[in-house]
Amino acid sequence: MNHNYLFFFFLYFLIVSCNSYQKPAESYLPENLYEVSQTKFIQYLIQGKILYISKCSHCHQHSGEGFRKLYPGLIKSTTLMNDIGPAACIIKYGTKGMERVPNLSISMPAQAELSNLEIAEILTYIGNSWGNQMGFISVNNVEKNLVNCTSH
Amino acid sequence: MKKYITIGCLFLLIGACQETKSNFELPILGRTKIISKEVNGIITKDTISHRIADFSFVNQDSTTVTNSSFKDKIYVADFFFINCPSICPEMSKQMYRIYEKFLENDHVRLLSHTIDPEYDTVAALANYARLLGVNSEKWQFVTGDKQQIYDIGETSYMVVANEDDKAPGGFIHSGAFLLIDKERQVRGVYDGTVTSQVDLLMRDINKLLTSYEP
Repeated sequence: MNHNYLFFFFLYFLIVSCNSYQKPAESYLPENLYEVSQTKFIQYLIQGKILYISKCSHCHQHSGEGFRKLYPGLIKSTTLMNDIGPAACIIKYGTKGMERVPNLSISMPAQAELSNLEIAEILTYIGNSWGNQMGFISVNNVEKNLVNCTSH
Repeated sequence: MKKYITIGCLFLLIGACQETKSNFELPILGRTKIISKEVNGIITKDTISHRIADFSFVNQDSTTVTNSSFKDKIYVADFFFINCPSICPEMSKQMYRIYEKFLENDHVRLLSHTIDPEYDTVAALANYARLLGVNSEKWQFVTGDKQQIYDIGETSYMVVANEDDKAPGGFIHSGAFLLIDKERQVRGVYDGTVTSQVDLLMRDINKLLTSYEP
């Protein structure tokens, strides 16, 4: 009898802990993912959101809309959508000294302390939030692209 | 009958409370100085309130900005720098709210000092103002001698501004917004990164404006 209760308690605990594991509300998650890759995707989204809020949201704002022309918005941003290469480089090394459209915005500081994994998490979060649907962005993908950065 | 009188008194009381609240004057901040001077052989004492010292800076249009640029204006001052990764973006956003709200009111001005004059040149400030989309008569971004900026920040506006390698972006500074009246006195200090504080500031601007109405 006593054991039964304990068992139910554990079951309940398991269900509760599973439930608390949800993707950030405004983020996109492709439906036809395997269970394993879905878990990984959600982990990236959550970690990415935490990092985004502490590292990026001061300028780009909480919901990615940016502010005036000073800080560009990240929703449907073509710089980001076409190719994650430049985006990964900009996050890691900033935009100072980069060849870009002059006076488009103020330069973005480098975030050299971020690891490749953290950059992948941030990109996954930005790339799949507020209507963006870029899918999963892996560490390998980021690593590959960071090798080709022009300014650092 | 007695009941009516009680209710009447209650209304009067509440009314009186509100009256005093709306008439509550903004304080004059800073230490008042007592100076003694000799007039016709008699030594008299006079109190002088804290005032913003004389300054001369250059704004985003390369125009010289001095105290007389703010003659008969009340203004909001702050200290920032363009490459500031931490609190400045939020300060700019909040300052922009004030800009929009008082755009049509010619008595109100905004004054942002850069604490990184080496990097924030006139051209850099002009670009910043252009990207923000603000007119330079209303919102001035000023640069100048670094020591003069730090000194006026510390002694006149009573805020912290200094270089610090350990701080993000290389500078330590406060996110305060200061409300300055037409007599160059500090009438309020607000946290420029907190929306509710800036709401209060905008209410206080209106209050201060009302006090100048004849």
